[in-house]
Amino acid sequence: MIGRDALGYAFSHLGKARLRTILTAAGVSIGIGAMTSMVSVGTGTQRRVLQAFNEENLLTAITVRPDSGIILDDAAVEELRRLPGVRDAWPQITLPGLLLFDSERTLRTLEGLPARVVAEQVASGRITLVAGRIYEAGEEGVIMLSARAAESLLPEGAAPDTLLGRRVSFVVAQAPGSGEEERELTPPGGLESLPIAGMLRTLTGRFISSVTLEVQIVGIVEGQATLTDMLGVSLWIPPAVIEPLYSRALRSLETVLTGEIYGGEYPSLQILAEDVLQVRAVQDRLRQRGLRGASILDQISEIRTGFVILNGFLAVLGGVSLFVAAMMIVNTLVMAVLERTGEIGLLKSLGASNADVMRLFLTEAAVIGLFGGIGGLVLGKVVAEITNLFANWQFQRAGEIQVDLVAFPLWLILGGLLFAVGVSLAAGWYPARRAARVDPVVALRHY
Amino acid sequence: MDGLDLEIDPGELFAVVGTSGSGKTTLLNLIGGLDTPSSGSIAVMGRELGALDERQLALYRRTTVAIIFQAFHLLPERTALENIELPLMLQNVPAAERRRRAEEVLERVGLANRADHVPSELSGGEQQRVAIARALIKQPRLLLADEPTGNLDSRTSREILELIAGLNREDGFTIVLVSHDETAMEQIADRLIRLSDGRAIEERTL
Repeated sequence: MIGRDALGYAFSHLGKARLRTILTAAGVSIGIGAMTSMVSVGTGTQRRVLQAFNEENLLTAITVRPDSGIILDDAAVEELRRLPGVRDAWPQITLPGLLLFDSERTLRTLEGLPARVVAEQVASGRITLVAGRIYEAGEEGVIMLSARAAESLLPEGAAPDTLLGRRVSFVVAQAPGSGEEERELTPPGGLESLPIAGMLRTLTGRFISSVTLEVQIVGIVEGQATLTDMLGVSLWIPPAVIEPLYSRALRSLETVLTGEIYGGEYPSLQILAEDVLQVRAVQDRLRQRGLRGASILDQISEIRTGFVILNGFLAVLGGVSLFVAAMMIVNTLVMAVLERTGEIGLLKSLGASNADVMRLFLTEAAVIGLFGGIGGLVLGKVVAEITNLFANWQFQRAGEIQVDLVAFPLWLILGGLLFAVGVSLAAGWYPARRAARVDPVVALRHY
Repeated sequence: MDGLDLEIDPGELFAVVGTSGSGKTTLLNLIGGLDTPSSGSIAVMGRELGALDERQLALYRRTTVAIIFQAFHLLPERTALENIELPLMLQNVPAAERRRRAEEVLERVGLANRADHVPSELSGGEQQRVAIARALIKQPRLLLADEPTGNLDSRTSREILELIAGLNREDGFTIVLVSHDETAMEQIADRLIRLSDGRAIEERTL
């Protein structure tokens, strides 16, 4: 009997016992679904991690914070720069503020990034200069944008280099120093040209001033240089220019209430390790100095631990349900053999060989497996997407970026179907053999 | 079977009579290649059935011999035409040719107008005609019939026996016909044996 006839024969029989077939296939679906969702999320996560490896700056970046009593000042920065395994270190100076461009007003974070860091990263190919130039150390009135930041300023489809030379304003809030409430703030030295945009009396009776920084766009780069903005919407300015503003930057309610300002001391530093493999060693060296070094690797390994648990759970569920599904197939087909003993006898009397009969039943098993597999892939996709939603909801609560953890490559689809059919064939082996061995004389007597 | 020795000639209509349990069906199963003898031998067209392995025996059943059963043994969910096509499906005959040949043999048994009916929509006589057509479609060298009229009323029985006799006379099929109706057998058969406890206790040429 050729394949197509065997298939037609199998379909007509499965169609007769529709409920039984559907239930059995559903069992296969649950098993395959659990397994494919597991592999899908596992693959997706791995893909994300591999992608992150391409963004070497993200992976080698370490954010350093003091534990207690340690002061991060310029001397500390110099010391850390000389640590083995460290590529570069600089104070993390960020200013939240309002970016004004044409009629656009956007809340953005201005980052003081040393010119040498930008230059070194462009030279080593970690980031790419798309347009314009790199600013000089201490150069005033200039700003560099990441391509993402440029995109957000430009109308749809406009070339980034049209932004070069355009002026943008950046308004930052300045906290009053303690005991200086009544004094009108003057811009720190070297920034006399900055107009003081306004003064506000706060509820606490202190004054908050706003300073507007007028800058010109000189360069646009592609890629992420630091961890500061995970979305890559970066605005960079030479640190020397904003350091004076930074010491009075309004960072929190605490700043407003205490009037505490930073003087020559930084809340955090940014370190780039030589390479990914050095990150752990550098973190250890920082710990010895009473510093905490946070790396994205910590979060990745945290995420991975979570997935190992989830994958283990899904693997056990998938394995158990596939086993149960296999038993269901055995049961379904043994029932079919019993019900159709007479028919098997007749087929044999018409000239069916044992192999023919076996093929008929294995075809039925394969068809159940195929449908179960298709259902399993759908189920697996759904579970993977739900896992993804849940994971991203958690990331969002933790303030992390959104990532797509689901991967459904072709090999997973084909592999899932093949596995479903394979398991079904294995389960169908015993009933099919039993069918093949039916004695036609006995079978026909009871037909 | 006990010490049975007989030879059936090509083109013969050979009748086997006897009471239930006399070994008639066992004899047919042996000739039909469904059962194998524990001792002794059966040769069909010079081929020793005992020497065939399972696959060769299946091939023998698929091509050389055909059996008509008392209870028709039609697949209930398939139409007359589909039932008739089954043996050709096992022979890997293409669907179009299967259909054409099935229609031909259905015509031969006088049921062309019932082609698309399932067995439950057919009378007993019609079902047996379908079963006969299913046997004929193989164009077997040897046609075996096991009490083909056992489930039918006397009028229908006569019609079916006439059909079978016609297959022998007009189409030249070699037929072994098992029945307990000796009178009817005497009318149509060329030769007759009576079985009792697996032995031939009487052999007559008619």
